[in-house]
Amino acid sequence: MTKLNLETDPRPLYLLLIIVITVPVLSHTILPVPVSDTTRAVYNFIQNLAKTKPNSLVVLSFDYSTSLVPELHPQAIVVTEQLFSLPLKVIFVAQWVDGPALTDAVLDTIDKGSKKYGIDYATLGYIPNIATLIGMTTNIQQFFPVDTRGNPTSSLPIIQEFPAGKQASLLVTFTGGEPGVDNYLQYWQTPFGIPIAAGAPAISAPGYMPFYNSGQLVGILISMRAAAEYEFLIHEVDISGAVSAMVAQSASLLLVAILVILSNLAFVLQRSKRKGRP
Amino acid sequence: MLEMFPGRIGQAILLILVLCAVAIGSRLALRRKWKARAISGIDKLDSWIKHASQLNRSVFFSPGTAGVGSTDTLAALALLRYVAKLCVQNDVKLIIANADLNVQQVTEEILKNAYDEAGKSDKYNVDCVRYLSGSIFAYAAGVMGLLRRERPALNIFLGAFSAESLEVAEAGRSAALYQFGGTSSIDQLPFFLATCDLTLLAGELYAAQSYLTNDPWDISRTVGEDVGKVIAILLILAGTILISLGNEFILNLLNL
Amino acid sequence: MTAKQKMTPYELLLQIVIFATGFFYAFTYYVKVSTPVDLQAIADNSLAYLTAMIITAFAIGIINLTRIHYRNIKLKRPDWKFSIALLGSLYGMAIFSMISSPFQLDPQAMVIPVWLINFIQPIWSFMYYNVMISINTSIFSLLAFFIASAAFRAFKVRTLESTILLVAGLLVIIGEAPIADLIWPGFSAIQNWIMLVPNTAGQRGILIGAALSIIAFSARRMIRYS
Repeated sequence: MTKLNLETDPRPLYLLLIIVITVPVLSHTILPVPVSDTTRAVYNFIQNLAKTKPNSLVVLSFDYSTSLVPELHPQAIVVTEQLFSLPLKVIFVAQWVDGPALTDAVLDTIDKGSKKYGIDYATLGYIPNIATLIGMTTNIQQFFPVDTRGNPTSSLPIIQEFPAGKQASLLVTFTGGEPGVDNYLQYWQTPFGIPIAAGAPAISAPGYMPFYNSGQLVGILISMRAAAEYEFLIHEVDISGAVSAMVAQSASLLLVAILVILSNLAFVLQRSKRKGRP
Repeated sequence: MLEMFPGRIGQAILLILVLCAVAIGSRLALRRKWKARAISGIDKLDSWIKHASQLNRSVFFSPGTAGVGSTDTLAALALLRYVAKLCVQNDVKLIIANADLNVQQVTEEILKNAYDEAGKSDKYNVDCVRYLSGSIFAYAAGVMGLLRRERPALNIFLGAFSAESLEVAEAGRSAALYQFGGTSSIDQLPFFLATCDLTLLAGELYAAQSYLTNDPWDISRTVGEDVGKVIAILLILAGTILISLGNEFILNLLNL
Repeated sequence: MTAKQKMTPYELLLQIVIFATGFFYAFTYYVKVSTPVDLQAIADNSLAYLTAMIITAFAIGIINLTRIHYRNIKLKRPDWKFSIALLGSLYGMAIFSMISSPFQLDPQAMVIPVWLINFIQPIWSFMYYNVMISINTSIFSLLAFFIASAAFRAFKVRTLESTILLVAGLLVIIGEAPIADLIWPGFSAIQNWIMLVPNTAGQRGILIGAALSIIAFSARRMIRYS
């Protein structure tokens, strides 16, 4: 019988993973997802903002590419859905090239309700460099003369009402790496005190914990799980498809944990057998 | 008129302090001819490249996916010079895959110079330095394919990486005999530690060049960095003690 | 370059430019100068020029790619058919994006006819949302498998440190699973603590060390060309 060595040939492990992920996804199983503190912090901040400062400005920054769509796009959908259901105004920008196209995809997905383009929200497009990111804090029109639809920004009521980015009451950045949160912390939060929330993939999220701990970030949305938690908070279950992926995610994580435990048990037993031999 | 930006005065003072410490530390090290601490395992690079030469296999080098503006990339390019020199000396084919166009031009120059300095200009092949893609996962796909086709004996991943690091390192693991990684991206360090035989952790990436070349000038700068770290440690300790006693002096100083 | 090697006049000039530019940006970050010259505006504008210069590098990259893959096709090297696909998708997507996409050159249809924009729009949407996003997502998804095999290899009870790593890693993996809380609520609490306390402490240490290395590294590049 051929000995199974998953360290040199992990294909059986991959096959198990495929089965464990595919079955729950195809069966569309939905289970409740407990809400973490970092996610609840973002949700509560936005809810409080709508109550205490209605019609204030929120800036959403789409700082991720097509490869991070599975992790960050659901977050963008649920946060935008929440913002559009509240009396808040939204400006969409992007530090990554794919941002404007992904913004359009989010806007096509959500229910805009009574929100009107130009009055309640606007898509300004791609921020090409740091100078634009800094400059728009004081003068949006100078650095974004037209929006993504070709309209002069001076003609948009939302820009007339909020001509400077520093008037924002919150900035939420869905960040896949650099440029991302670091720029906003440096040039928006530190000089102007604009509260910042971040949506990050699971791989980068631990790196942002120091900023959350120190209060520089009001909250962090971590990976697709945060989107699933958010769906329960805003009572729009599976609007982004995140909740139905949670069972698959749980199953794959538990499979990895079980296999690691079993392999270590086997390793320890082998070692004690070798020690026991004369 | 000159005025300091509020909230940045403390930073400026700290920066000047650290730069002075770097300068003083550098001078001391240069005068006393201090040696760099051995970075565990890095001497193996020579023997790995020699082994690749014996097996008639190539060496693969990835300088990361950031641009020339990233200090990680610059540190990687400094090490590329050393690796290129060794590869040319041992007649080993060095394949370099780039994700940034400016880095592509620099790496072409570095490899070409290595061949020119060794008097082997005729052996330089411009196709050894390839630009794959600026998109990190397209780059990862390109590198994975390249590693499976070329089957280099040694893979070197140095520089700034994001999520693609595990993919390229894991794909390379099956094909190569040895892997050498290094980055200061804290998210990616665990992946290199799990997949590479030798990993340079953060500051070691910047210090590696000085250790390999043994140049007193480079070593002195590394010492200067360490002096800066000592200042940071002392500040953290002092700040922690003072805050615990209810004194916010250092906190207020840094918030100036 | 070592301390003993003297700089040529060209290298000296380059070094002066590097030092002056670096010092200028550092200075304008900390000190506000509005009269007689607005230094912050100069710094911001020059960053915009830098962006323009960087974009010209794209042209060089496209020429480089085209040159390599055109040669592959011409000489019928192995996998030359993939080179046709690459060049076709590169130029096709670029042209379609310029005509009809969020990056289109003429959003108000002043020059490009509306019928052409409407014709290209569904093609671009399909190529972007159905092809490009799917391909990129698939490559990203390979991480799931690689993380599983890397975890399987890395988490081994060999030494005390690796055992601590194993236990902490397992607790974080299990705590991360949404179902874990249904098994025992303590899992997510432990996972939260590990992420917020020891993980943050370690990350901070590496961040500070790396930042100091970057300061010293950048300072030495400003002072000495190499």
